[in-house]
Amino acid sequence: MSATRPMYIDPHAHMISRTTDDYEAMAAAGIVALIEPAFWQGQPRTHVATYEDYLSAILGFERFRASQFGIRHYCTIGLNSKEANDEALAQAVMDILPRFAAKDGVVAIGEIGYDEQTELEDRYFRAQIELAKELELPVLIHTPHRDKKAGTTRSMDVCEEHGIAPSMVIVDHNNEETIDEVLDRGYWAAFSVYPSTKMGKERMVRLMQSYGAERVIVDSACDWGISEPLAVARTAELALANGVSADAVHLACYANALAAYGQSGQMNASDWLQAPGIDQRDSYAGNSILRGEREPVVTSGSS
Amino acid sequence: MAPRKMGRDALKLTSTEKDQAEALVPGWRAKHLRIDEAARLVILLAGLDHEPDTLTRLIRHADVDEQCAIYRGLCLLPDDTATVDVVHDVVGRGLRTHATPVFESIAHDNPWTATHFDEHRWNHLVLKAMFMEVALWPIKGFDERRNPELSRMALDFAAERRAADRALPDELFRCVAPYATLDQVERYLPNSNSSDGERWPDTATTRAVSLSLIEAEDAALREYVATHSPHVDAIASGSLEWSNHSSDTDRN
Repeated sequence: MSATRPMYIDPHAHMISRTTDDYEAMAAAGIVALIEPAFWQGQPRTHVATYEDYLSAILGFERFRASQFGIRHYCTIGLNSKEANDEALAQAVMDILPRFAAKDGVVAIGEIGYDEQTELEDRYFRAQIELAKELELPVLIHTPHRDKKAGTTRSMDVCEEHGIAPSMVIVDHNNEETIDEVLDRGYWAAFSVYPSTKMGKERMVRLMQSYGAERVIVDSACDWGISEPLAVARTAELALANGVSADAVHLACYANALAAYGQSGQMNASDWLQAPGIDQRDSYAGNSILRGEREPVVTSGSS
Repeated sequence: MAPRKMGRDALKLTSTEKDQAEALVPGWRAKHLRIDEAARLVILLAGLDHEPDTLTRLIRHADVDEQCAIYRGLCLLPDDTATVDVVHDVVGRGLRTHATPVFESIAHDNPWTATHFDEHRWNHLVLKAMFMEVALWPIKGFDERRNPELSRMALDFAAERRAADRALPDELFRCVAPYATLDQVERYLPNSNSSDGERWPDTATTRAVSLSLIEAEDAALREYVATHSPHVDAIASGSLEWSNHSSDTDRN
């Protein structure tokens, strides 16, 4: 890898919903590693079996797909807050979660937390914090889109009740209204840079100008909705163009995510700095990403 | 099958039939049903037969149109405890949707939610409607179910939108009208930075703000709206109401 090329991590990307074009563009923009948090898929699953297959897919074939573009792929494993409201499903998922959460490349329990702040969401949020403590994994918190401020405060209160250190908790989907409290209480504050709705690039740059980059993490949260897989790289470029220091951009768009999720012991810079090259002649369980007569890309390693 | 056999036209009710429907289930507007939805509800009601779990199975396998038909007919379902428990579950599932038609089939012209939801679920229904940019005024029982916590949530939401430099939902002020003071909402009102006494322009937003706040509990807030709104007379005369506030052609 050349010295001038930027390196970014996208610590929140639902790649299972994205195309190979996105992987190609992300790699070209400097994404060297990404984290795929387990979440719902736009409509609720109704069977634990489909949940198992989903978790297997993000841990398996999705990691392979990423590798075919030279991107290291990690996961967080969890029961999301929306599906926590289906008690029969939720209980069955909780029974299988430890098996998946203990696998290689799982860097946190997440994304977990609140959606509508119901009793069931609360019960499974707490149970999964306990699981994270047992497995010595960080926690990725999805703060609710509705009643966000109160929900964010409550999420941190619950973490403290369960005695997990703020340094082990990444609070995601922050905005101007939540950042002060999240940083003051010692948590990692992540921001999903999402076109038009959650947090745009310009707003993110303004926040970096006001708050600096200590414990600030930028991610794309790209998924099945209108979202931008290049959000981390584009935000970094916009920040640099607007006078944010290269050190601050490095922290927010690379180093902080590595420090936070690296606490899992499952994510190290050597994973990509000393990675073998891309070999698209590989296949995963007999499945190649190549179609038709396409010429496979083969490169030498990056070290 | 229902649309193939019945078509998708509106269910054309006579005015007597509309009155009968309203008398039987107040607030439920049968006139909004399509003929295929009505057919699906007839089949559902005939087949449910004290086995509420059937409903769970049907919803799991239902496409968007089928879900909408079932949700529009909630208040026709039996009201025994076992059924109501199952309905709570399937309604919760429906409200977690991102599909606007499904959400609206539960939220709009559907008295079931106002009579069955506790305050927490009610508030989240309203908040999600604003998030999805779904109208509040067709939500039955809205005014009666307002509460201080909903007002607090709406004010937090307004602060969040303002911090993001995004517009507020036009109807947000309906949530706060019985509780908020002028001090709390003035910064969100149209032209709050312009000189005193200037009238608001005539837009869908100022019509919604006026309808929301004309009867605000706080006297100073009421007075402020009376001074700034160009719609006071239209509201008093009944020519401006929620059902026509967002459309210029329907009014006058």
